[in-house]
This record gives sequence, C-alpha cells and structure tokens, in this order.
Amino acid sequence: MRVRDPFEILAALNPVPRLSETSPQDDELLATIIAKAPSTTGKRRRHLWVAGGGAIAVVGLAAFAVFHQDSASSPLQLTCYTAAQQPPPEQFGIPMEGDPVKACKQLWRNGTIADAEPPTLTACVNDGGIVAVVPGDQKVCARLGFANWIGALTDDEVQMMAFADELAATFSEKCIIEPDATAAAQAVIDKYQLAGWTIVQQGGYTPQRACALAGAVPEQQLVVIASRRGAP
Amino acid sequence: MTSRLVDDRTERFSDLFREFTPSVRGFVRTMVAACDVESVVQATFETAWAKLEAIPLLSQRAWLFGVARNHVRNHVRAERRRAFLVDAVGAQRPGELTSCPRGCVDLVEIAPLLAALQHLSTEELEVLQLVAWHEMEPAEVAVVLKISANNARVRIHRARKHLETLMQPELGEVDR
Repeated sequence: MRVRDPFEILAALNPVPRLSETSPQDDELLATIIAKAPSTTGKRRRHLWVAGGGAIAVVGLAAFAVFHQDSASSPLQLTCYTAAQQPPPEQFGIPMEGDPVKACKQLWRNGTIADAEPPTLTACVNDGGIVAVVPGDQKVCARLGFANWIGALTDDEVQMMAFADELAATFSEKCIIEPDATAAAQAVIDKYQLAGWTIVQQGGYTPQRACALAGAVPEQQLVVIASRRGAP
Repeated sequence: MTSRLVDDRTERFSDLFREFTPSVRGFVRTMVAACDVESVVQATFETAWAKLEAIPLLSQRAWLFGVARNHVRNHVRAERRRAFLVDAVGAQRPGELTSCPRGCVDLVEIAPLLAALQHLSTEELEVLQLVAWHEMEPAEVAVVLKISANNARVRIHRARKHLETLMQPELGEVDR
C-alpha cells in the first residue's frame, strides 16, 4: 500500500486558516497598545520603556508623550543609552527619580541592559530635551551633540513627579469606573493644589475594559483618562 | 522632527499589527486555551511595540511568532502545549475540509497520524507545525525558535523522520 507522506497529511489538516482571523476588537486593541508605555516593570508604577533610534518619551499613555526639541529638559523622563551613539541601538526609559546616573547603573547591573558592572556613565540632555545617561566620560555629551546635564531637580519638578506618580497609582491600584474617574483625578489635582489643569476623558470603555487609568501631561497641564482592562 | 519620528513609528507598528494579527492569533490558538488567546496576542504586540526597531523587516511574522511562543512558554507547560497542538489536528475533521489545497485527507489517515503525534515531543510538534501549517522556511523557523538556520534544518529533518517512523507500522511504505 502506497500512502502519502505523513507530513503532507499533517499539512492538509492545517487548522490555522480557520483560526487566523481578525477580531472586531482589533482596532481597540491596537489603540490600547499604542496608548501604553511599551513595557512596565518595578513595584508600584515604575514605567520602563525601550526603544531604538529616535528619542521617544512615554509616561503611561501615548497622549502623555511630550516632545520638546527646544526645551532644556523634560524633568519626568530619563533614558539610559546602551551605547554612546545617537540614535543608540537601544535605550531604556524610566521615570526620573533622583540621581539619573545611579538609576541607569541599576539597569546595567540588574540584567535589563547587562549583567555586569556598568562602564563610566554620564548624564546628558539629548536633542529631545530628555536626560540621557550615556556610556562615556564627561566629553561624551558634546561628542553626541548633547549638553551635559547639570543640577538637581527643582522643588516644582519634584512635586510634579510625585503628582504624576500618585495619579497613576490611584488608578492602577484599584478599578475606578468611568463615572468616578474625573472626580478621582480631580481629588489628586486638588491634593497637590494644582490650578488650571484640565481633565480629558478618552472613553473606550467596554465590559472587559471597565476600569480607568490616568496620566499627567505637565507641559499642557492636562490629565488624560482612558479605559484599561479590568472590571470592578 | 521628533514628533514625525513618533508618527512614523506608530504608523509602522499599525501596519505590522494589521498585517500580522490574524496569523499570530492563528498561531497562538494552536497553543493555548481559547480564553487565553487574546491576552497572549496582546502581550505579543506589546512586546513588538516596545521593540519595534529590533524586528527584522524580512522575517516580521517569524519574529512575532517567536515572541508569542515565549509568552506562551511562560504560562503554559510544554505537555499542555503539546496537547493543544494535537487537539488542533484532531479538531480538523475531513468533513470540515471544504477545499483541500494540500490534498484532502481520508478519515483513515487521521487516526494513525493523531496516534503518531502523541509520541512526538513538544519541540518536534512545534517545528512540524511551523513548516506544515505556517509554511515557514528553515530560516524563519530559526527566527521563531531563536536557533541557527542549520540547527532548524536539522530539527525539521529529524521531526519529519520521527513522524514517518512512528507511522511506518500503520501505513507501510511512504510515498515520496
């Protein structure tokens, strides 16, 4: 008895075509992914984003990405370059929390960038106005066309970081539903005594995405609220 | 200028998402329970969004499959993944094959194949799945499995041989 190659039988029984389909929710899923920081790590709300190439800053929602070519710095953001190149082969973004060199050293040590002791690192301000910690000595900033980063954060910047962190934490630690979201955001704004801020609801709520998340755009004095996966 | 970079990045990702979501979903559905499919698909494209610049332009689908496979491996034990793959074959009954681009299958051919698949390792099943169902070349299989192309060729060859051997007692000489 001559029969077919079993591999051909397997190929003929291919179930993939009937399993490969688009979903009515795909557009929403795409928007959700683009609106999120590329990845998250850490305990509370410590956003880590990874990118190669151009300077990209993400706080938590795409709407929160703020770019200032003319600005001296974007105080909430810090990016750790993996090489002294512009653009770097890869960069890791984290919130600015104190000493930027120390923060990036941690990524070199904990396996995020490497598992070894970091090389000499220097904090620069890149052409996107973001603090970039680059491998190299103090001359590396100028070599890449950046300015050397100087100074600690101002009190206002420290307060803004605390506000942004608390806002995000308020919405990530429990499910706040749409009708309550604006009031919850306003409560955090009031707590930090911020005047002139606007709250924007992006919507997109579904039974599967019934909870809200929020993030701040300090440069525009804006709080953006969007849906996230979860139910009360 | 920076904003334009971001727009370009978003556009590139959107194109990638629209082109490959169905095939990634099809791939994932053969490895996990239906209720877990969408979370794996989402995790896969979140990784792609984060590492967009690292995705090789000539093997985007294979790269995405590799990421999806990693997400699945983190949550589903190998034995369970193997069971899903075999179930996916078993679920494809001849009566459902309204068109047969690779040749229609007789009912008598399915039972021995299913029996043989039960004896393949998860790794062998994965390799055969990628080649037989997703029509991947060894170089693409290499990207999915994060191995060399030569290693992929060897694995494909061995898996096919093992499948043939397992089916020899049932089907006799294989027609090439």
